[in-house]
Amino acid sequence: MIGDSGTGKSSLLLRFTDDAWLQPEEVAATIGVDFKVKIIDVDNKKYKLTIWDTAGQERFRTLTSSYYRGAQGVIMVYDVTQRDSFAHLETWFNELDTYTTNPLVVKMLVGNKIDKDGSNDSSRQVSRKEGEAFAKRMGTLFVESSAKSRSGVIDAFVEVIAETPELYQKTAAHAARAANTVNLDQQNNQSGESGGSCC
Amino acid sequence: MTGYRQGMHELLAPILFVVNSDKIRIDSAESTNDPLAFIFDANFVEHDAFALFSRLMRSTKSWFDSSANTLPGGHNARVRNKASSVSAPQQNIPIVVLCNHIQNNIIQVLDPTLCSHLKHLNIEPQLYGLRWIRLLFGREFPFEELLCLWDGLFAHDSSLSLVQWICAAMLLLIREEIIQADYITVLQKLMRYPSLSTLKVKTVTGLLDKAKNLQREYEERVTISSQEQHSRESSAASEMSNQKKSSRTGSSKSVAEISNFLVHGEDSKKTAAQSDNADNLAVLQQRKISELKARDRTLAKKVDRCISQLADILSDAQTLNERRNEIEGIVDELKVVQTELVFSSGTSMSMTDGNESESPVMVSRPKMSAKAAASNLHEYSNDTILQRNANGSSILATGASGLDSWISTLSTAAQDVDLSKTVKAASSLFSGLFEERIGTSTFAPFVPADQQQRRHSAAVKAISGIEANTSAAGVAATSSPIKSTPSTLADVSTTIKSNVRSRPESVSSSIKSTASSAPTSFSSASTTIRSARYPPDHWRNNLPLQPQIQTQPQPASSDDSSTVGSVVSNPNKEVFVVVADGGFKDPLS
Repeated sequence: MIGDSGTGKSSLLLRFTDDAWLQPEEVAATIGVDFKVKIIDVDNKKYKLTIWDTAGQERFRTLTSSYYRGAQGVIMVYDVTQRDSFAHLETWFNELDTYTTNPLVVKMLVGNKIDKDGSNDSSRQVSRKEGEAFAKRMGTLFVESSAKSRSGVIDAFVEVIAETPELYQKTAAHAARAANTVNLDQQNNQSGESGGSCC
Repeated sequence: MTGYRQGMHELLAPILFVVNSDKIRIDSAESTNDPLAFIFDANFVEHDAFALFSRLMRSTKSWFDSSANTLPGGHNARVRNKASSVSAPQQNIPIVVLCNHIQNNIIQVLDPTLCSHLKHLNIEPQLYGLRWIRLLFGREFPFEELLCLWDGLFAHDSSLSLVQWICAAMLLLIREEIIQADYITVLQKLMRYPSLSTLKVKTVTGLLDKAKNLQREYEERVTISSQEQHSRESSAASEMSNQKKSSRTGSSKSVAEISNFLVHGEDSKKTAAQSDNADNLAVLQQRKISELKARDRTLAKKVDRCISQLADILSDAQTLNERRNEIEGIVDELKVVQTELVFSSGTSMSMTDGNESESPVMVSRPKMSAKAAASNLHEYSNDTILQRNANGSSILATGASGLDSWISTLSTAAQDVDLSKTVKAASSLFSGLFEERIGTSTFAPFVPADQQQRRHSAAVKAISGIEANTSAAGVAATSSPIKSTPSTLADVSTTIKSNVRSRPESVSSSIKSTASSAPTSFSSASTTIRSARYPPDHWRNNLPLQPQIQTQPQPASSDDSSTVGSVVSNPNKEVFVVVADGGFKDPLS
């Protein structure tokens, strides 16, 4: 999971893995990187996900190369009430292009904090349409979500999973040629479960 | 890097908490005179917290630096080619360098199996180390434990050098749980560190002890392996024949990398090509060592000059009061020396003499933390080279800490109307503290082992006379009957003793080993020999009361707290001489 700091990456992850929500004053900024493991059923198949949650302030290069190299899916998060976090997505795409060696990585764009829409203190600065258009242009999946209200959270993760095995199947030959870029088995596979790595 | 980075607030929070807990409200007139109330004044909680936080950031700032670029706007990343941008840029980031050093150097030396396991799993150390180090373990332990851990960390040194050893200890403490585990399990252990109560150390104190022990263990191994390297490569290998050659862990390559890291700190480059290029490293290390030696000589000269000036001032009791300003000047100069000493003992083992300049053992010196090495010297008593290193550091460390009390004594003295006694006592202490240092850097007496005993007896004999002179000088200078400022004297005497006693282990073990390995380790012995010194001639000539004093019994050793310039014998029968003088005279010559 990547995106500017304060967009709610850790909150999305916490909602997804633990179905929990922390009040703003209970939340601590992610330092460096955090990770969680979640086992989930999609279409009667068990997937074990290793999900990496990066600090928005952290540069990729401070973190690991193996971390990005092994990634099968990337969830890019912006805050629909913060225009800047949307504007910076291009930078995040550049970073991603630079540091991932997997050309088949599944990208998911998530506009978070839609629960704030219409509330008094902050309102939406990025419309759903805008988000969709950008996702289309960049060739990524798109979901709007609220970690607070649960809306869209599971969708975001499940869609990445749903896209992933199909991609790998279709292009197995290609993947085999790019031997060191796709590490399905290396870190994630446990007996009887399909692995998935996502950040 | 400028400005706030995520996590800094978590360094500030415990500071603010503690300062706020300690605050004292000044609500009445009388409490305004209470020094505690002044220090913990509730009106200045924010100010104090800020000052402490600023100081802490001085040591931790670089760990928040993740390169010149910050998001957003890192477009230049695109320009670089992929292969180099993935691995190379990390090398310059201080936090990454430190994390790599811990996992790939320290753990490699202390537990190669664990190191290769982590490497095999492709666990990059900054995954866990970044948070550990940036927040100074703030999220790894409960708050109460954290405060205790920080106490130990800050007490060790202000550069927070203990951090890497705490990290190493944390890794080794869960070794058994991760050595067989898979990638996910290992990461879970590292990123959700188990409660200390479930581990072998049980408490924070245990963790700190473990960290310090690991540091010593590491330094021992690295030093030995660098000696091995030297004895293989040096044409002067025969001179090193008495040194241990037992095989130890730690390849020469890792030593080269480590010393590179030490010499260049954050700029360490660890590409394979460079670590292979040992020649370049050696040149750089030699250059660094030369710098350190030059600095030590300068320091020694300064100290020597201070002694001379003090002796000069003390030589004329009549003008003591008028020359108070000069004493204050010396105090200021000594404060500078002290600062440099603290720096020196924290960053290097830089006590050097001419004979050592060719020895690559020096390579490992900057690695040694002075205090730890000194306090645990006895563990190395079989290895003379280690002895020498540790002795150097002990001198630096005790020198620096001793100076502290000395400076305060002198400062008091400078304001004291009847200051002659105090000054003399302080100068005695001072001279004792530094005679080793000067002896090593400047004079370096070359004494065969069989002469040591003679030297010591000569020292003992010399003491009686010197003591008499010193006391007499005091009496003469005060010009009034001895109603010596007892509290000051007792303080000084205590300081002298504590300073002297803090060293006996290192000395005795050093002498032991010297005796067994003579004649190759004379220079080692020379650092530990306390040579007695005569006071300058004009002192004695100006001492009208000398005969009377000499009729008093002269203790060969003394616990009498009123004795200044005392001789203190330790259980190992070594005699430590603490006297003042302005020059250097060998009692044997």
